[in-house]
Amino acid sequence: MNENQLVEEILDHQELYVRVSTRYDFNPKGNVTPDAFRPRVNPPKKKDDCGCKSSDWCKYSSPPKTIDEAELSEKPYTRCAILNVGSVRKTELMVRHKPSLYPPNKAHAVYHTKELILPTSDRPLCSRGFYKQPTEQQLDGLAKSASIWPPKE
Amino acid sequence: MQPLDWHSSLLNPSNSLAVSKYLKVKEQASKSTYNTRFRSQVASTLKIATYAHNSFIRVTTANTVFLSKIESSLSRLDEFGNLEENWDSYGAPPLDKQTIEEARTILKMVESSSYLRSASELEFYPIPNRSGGVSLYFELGNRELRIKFYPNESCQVAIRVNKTNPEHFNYIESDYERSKMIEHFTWLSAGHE
Repeated sequence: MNENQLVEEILDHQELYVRVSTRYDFNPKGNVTPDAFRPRVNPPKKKDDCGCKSSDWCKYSSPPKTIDEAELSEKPYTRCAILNVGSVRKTELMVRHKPSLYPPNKAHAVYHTKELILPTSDRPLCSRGFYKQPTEQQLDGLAKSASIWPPKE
Repeated sequence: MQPLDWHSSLLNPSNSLAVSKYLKVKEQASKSTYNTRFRSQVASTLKIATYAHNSFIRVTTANTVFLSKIESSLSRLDEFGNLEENWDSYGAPPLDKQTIEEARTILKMVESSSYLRSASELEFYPIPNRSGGVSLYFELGNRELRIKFYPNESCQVAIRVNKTNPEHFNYIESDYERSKMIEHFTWLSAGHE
């Protein structure tokens, strides 16, 4: 069995969970910043790191479970941003299930832009190309639609 | 004839009383006019003094708030320099020192800007970005300026304007040019008006 055989369809009414840091991802007013939802730009460190943002799919995960995957020292400062899949797709981003076998993670899902840029000589590690970065407007859309768990006290 | 008439009228007890009453009323009226003018002058002086005092307090407070924001942002940048690999638990690299220095330069530029200093409602803060760089956010009124430094010496500037409806924003994204920073900040400060 390979990873592709485990792929399932993610529906609009479902949710994605993204870890956010209370130390680095919030503005002074206490709102999550758009940067929290931006995939890494460069340089891609792994072959499969192609401008996708990792998240956990609600079918196989939950906010506490997502937070639990943070580094031990960061856990007290970690919260979970909950994104509605339909809202993510409304911002012209694609959402797909991307389970991994090693390490096993059935909940792993990603979102990315629709535009694939083919590999170039300055990005040789990214053999399958990489997705163009989301615009600020798309990221604002995600930040605005996200709800944070646990909510503020 | 005239002086005599005047004299005789003063000799008339009823007239004399009328004159003294008239003089008293006139004196009171004069005093009252004087008081009114004086009070008005005092009030206007007080008004100016109060305005000057309030302006001074306002400017001093704005300045203190502004400097404390600068100080806090600079110390945040120092903190970002200590972030280790995987600080976001999604494999983000440590922050590139050069991007931190670039962000510091911008903050120093803002610190020395008199027109931004006077805008007490100017909000700004740095955020580490997942690509190993620094993002600077500036907000004033309905305007927002974002400057994002990335490790490969690339940088992006995004400005956001909310013209009429808070739900609707206009975005302009462009590459960073240091020479255009003054222009961007001048644009931002217009959000203060």
